[in-house]
Amino acid sequence: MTAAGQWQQALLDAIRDPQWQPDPDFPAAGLAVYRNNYRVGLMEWLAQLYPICRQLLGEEFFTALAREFVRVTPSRSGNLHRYGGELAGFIAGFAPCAGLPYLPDVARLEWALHRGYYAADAAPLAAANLAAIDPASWGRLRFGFQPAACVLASNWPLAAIHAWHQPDSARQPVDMQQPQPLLLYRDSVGDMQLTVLEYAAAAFCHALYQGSTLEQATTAALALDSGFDLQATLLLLLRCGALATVEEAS
Amino acid sequence: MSFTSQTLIASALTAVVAMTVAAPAMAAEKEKCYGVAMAGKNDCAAAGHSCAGQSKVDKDPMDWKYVAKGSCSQMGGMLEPMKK
Repeated sequence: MTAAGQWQQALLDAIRDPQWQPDPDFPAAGLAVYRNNYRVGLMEWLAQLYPICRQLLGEEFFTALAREFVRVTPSRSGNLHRYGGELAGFIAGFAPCAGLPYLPDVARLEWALHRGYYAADAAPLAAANLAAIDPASWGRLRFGFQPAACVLASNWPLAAIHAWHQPDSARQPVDMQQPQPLLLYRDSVGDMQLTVLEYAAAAFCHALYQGSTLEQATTAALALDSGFDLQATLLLLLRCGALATVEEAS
Repeated sequence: MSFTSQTLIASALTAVVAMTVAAPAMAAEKEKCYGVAMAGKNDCAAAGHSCAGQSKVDKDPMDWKYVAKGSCSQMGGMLEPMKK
């Protein structure tokens, strides 16, 4: 690294770590401006990225949470869009949030909506792709999901919490005892959509999403509900374009 | 493979394949430009203070207790008293 490169790296390190003064030539007042801008920029980004968490906690609490998160979580990309995915895990271990045990899942949902919105396009899998496969190997099929799609297993009413915080919401009280595992996907207009999955269908979709074969996922769903409707669940996945690839497990 | 899931897979996939479900059009075909920001999430505005020439000073709170004053209580989602 050149001398200029080393100097720039030392400055960046000093901006990220307020306790560190690597070079007596960095004036404290100037460094403070950089440190403030860095911190405020990331905190404002978190506030935009997690609007529901912010509303749930209120402005002051969220700002304090964001400040703590930024303090221990350095930005690792020049692209602000990649910052903040660890907030759910941070909240789960953050004692002041212990009274809101569903908050980590809400953060997980908001991050998935954000990443899905900006994810790359992939051609959706069609039923015709399945027709070309020998029925004898159907049980060994593995599916790849769209980069924009994901399955969120959760014990909390994520769809209801999401709906409650939309601008046109009627704001009916949310039943916190009602788990709502979700399938998230991007529709043909490019907006993210949430579909609540029934219990066994959620186990099926989650298993497929994690890379299980069709047979393993079906067995897992049937263990929860012998009346599991595989056909309807596959149709749902195909109709919303959540799947992208299929391959036979070796 | 268990007999039940084998049977279910055979019948369900036969039906799905026969229905020739059309996959939805891709977003790209609807002229969504790559890199267009979600409403209200303009990158420049997100990093606001640095490119808009405004500044906002973030001070560490002196003696502040974490009390949720947001929508969690209205929504029915305050499950236990917040720790101070």
